[in-house]
Amino acid sequence: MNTIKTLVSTAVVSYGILSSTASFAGDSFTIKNGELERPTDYREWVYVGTPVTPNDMNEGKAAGKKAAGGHESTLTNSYVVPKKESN
Amino acid sequence: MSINVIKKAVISSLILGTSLSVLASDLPKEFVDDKGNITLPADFRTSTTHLGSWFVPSGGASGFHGVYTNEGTIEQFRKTGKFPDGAVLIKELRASNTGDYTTGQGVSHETGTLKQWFVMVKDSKNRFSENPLWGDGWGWALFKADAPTKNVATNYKNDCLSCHVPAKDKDWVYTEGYPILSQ
Repeated sequence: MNTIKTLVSTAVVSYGILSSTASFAGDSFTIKNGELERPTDYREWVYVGTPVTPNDMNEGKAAGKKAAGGHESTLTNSYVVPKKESN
Repeated sequence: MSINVIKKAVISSLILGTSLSVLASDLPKEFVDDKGNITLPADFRTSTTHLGSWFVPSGGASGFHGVYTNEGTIEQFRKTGKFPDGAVLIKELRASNTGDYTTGQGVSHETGTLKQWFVMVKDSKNRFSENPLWGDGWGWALFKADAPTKNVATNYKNDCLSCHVPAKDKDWVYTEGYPILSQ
């Protein structure tokens, strides 16, 4: 769930726009009726980093094992949409 | 030496030369030249696909290990369960830092400090059998942050292989760190 949040945030920031009615068919993600649909091909986007997020962000239920600091941790990958070629 | 013998020698050398050239050219040119020299393209972060990441909390290899692969490798692996000929794996080592964020306390993240890169190129055809940086199905390379265009490994058996021995049965790659190969 947190991964999805990150993806959504990243996608929105990358484009810098959010319309309640816009649809981006053919782009890397789609917004329909103000709802951002979860991208399915995001792993082919450009990878930008992987924070190790401790239990706190995961409502106390991180899926990972304990890291060196004694916290449950999750690797949270972030991706951004690839640069579009200008027409 | 008869004319026919000379003709055969010339023809044989042309065929052999052509074969070697064709074999080498099967590999991605942005990573390997015809002599088996491995390079690391400066744009690999945007031209390849992220395969997975490791976080090593302490020790000489501490920090984040981000692993990338070239186009088509994931799709082929999902079909066959094997790394295809020409597959490229790039592992970038970065230093890490830890701080408190809105996401929680003790969040570790990457920093701008680069440590080194490991590169492996899958070679199913044993193209460069005389090259000490090629063997066991792969070409091997190590690039340091102070000279990112120079492969400082000189012999893969001495410089690279020992760290991969536990993963020998998985074609020398710790595939458990790359679940998207099967998802």
